[in-house]
Amino acid sequence: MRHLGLLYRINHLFKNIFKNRTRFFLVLFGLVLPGMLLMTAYFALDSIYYSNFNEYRHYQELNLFEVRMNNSESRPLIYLQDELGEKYITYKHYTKGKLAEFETANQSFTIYYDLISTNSHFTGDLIVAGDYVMPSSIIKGRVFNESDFIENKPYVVIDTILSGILFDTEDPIGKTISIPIYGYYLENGIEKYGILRYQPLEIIGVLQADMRSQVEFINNLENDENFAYNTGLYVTSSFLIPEVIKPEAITYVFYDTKDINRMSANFLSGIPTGTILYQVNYFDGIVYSIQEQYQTLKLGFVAVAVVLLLISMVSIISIMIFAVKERIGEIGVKKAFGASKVKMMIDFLIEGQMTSIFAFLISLIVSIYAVYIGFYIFRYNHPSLYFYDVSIHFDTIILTFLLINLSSLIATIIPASYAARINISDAIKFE
Amino acid sequence: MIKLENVTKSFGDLIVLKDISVTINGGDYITIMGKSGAGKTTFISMLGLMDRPTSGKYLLDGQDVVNKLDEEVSRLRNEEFGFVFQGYNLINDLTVEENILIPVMYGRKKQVDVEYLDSLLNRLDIKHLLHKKVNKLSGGEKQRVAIARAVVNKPATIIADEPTGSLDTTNRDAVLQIFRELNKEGVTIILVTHDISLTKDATRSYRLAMGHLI
Repeated sequence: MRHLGLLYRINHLFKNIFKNRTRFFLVLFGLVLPGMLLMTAYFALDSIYYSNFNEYRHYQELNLFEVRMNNSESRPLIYLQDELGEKYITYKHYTKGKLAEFETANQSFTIYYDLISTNSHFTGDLIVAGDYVMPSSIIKGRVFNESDFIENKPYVVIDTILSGILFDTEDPIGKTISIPIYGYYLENGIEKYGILRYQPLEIIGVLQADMRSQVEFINNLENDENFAYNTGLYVTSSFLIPEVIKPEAITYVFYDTKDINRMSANFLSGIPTGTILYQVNYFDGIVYSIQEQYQTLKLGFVAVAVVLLLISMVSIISIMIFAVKERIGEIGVKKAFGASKVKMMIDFLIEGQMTSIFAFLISLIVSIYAVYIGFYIFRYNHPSLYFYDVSIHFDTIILTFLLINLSSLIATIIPASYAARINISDAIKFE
Repeated sequence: MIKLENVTKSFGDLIVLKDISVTINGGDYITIMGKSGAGKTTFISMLGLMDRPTSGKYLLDGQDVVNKLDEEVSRLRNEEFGFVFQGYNLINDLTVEENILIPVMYGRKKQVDVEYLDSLLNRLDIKHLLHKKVNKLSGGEKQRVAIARAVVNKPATIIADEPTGSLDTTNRDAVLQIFRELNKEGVTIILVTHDISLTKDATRSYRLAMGHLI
């Protein structure tokens, strides 16, 4: 005895979906297009969101707030320094870039940098950097002093890991590193990057790298063939590099080690009435706002995909009804030899589902490729945004799978029930 | 045993079959003749449970099947009947084997009796064609494949609607010989034909005229 199980039937139905290739590709296209657009949009949105979000969540946990300048005037900055005390202020330029690449026989790694200009004298043993706050102390050389601030010296303080990579056991103090900088400018309101140049900076001090960086670095060194290390380069706030000044984009991050509430209350009460030169944003609000925008955009994308799928469904229904009419003879034979209405309907629904699985897989592959290529080009054109990484989330994949399958199911029900109701005698004659 | 009692079939105002009563016993060889449009196909469609009568009773082995649910009627059609059509009605995109196994695929057990199938293929001389697409076959080969499909589930009754209509004399004789052999094995044969010479094998012959079975 040989058993003709479900696999035999599926294999049999599988052949049916390829009977008319034009029809198959039309149905496939109708499902792939919305699925692909939805997944690509979701992957891109997730990638942008999670690239930024983790950093902001960290600020939120640390109860930080930021002051975003409304224009390029420096007066508010001076005012804020007066109000808060300058030692608490660290300016984070939106300047990031690739510092160096190293390659050995079996390993390669890249060093990226954040340029951080600070008013801190590191006397509080606390550093506020781009995406972390850490206790630290100078272990070689010296901290910035008053004359460094006044004389705008091109001095830099680096961390122990970078010192180890660049100079091994040699003393880095007094040595010069050159940081690659892309000249930034605005053209018709659009951010542009100009010619690459190298800014020399003399190392005056070495900070103890934070514990997290050390652990990650050692772990990567031992396990990864290719990895990246992100380091902070500290310069004085008075040392301004013209190319990296983006006045309307500079973010000021404040941190009060003792009493953040008191400080923020003092700060807010100190803002003169009618002066709107800057905005104070708490990270609670920023994170909430980002989450809200993220959810709204996601819903928007789903709505667009649903509309596209509805349009596709109408086409799929017509194509499938045409397919059923084309296959009346075959339906008649199958019903004559025992296929009930329900079995006939299930056959067509399975065929529809198989097509939708094809559509889903194509959408998934194309979307993943599209978003990786897109981000590669994006990062290539905007080196400072190297930290943007592709995020592919399982829930997005599941959602698209369900949407495509549900659309296919709904679009196939009408043709399938039409096939189920076909009169056998008429269908046999049709042959 | 098939028993029809006062069966009428109409399509709207058109009455095709009028008050037909007939009993077909297991092992019968029945021929049905009649002019074109006499209702022969409608009659065998009802006999083969492909259509339902407008009124009257249809008893299959003593049970009334007229009001049974589609699922149950489909099961009976699958297990009790095999059909052979004049135009073969094979599915062109499938292979010979896939065509033959259609009734098994839609059956309850989905079990192919491999030994029986093998002997059937040998007997019909189509074993060598098993993996060929049916659109590559000659008319005679197609009809033998159709017969194999009709009997693969070992049905009690075979209903053949002008099965030799499209065949040459050699193939016609071969097909009739197969029907004779199947009948000898106890299978009921119901044959619709225009050819009066085919009635010589029949245990009974009927003629359909003006909606009546004579």
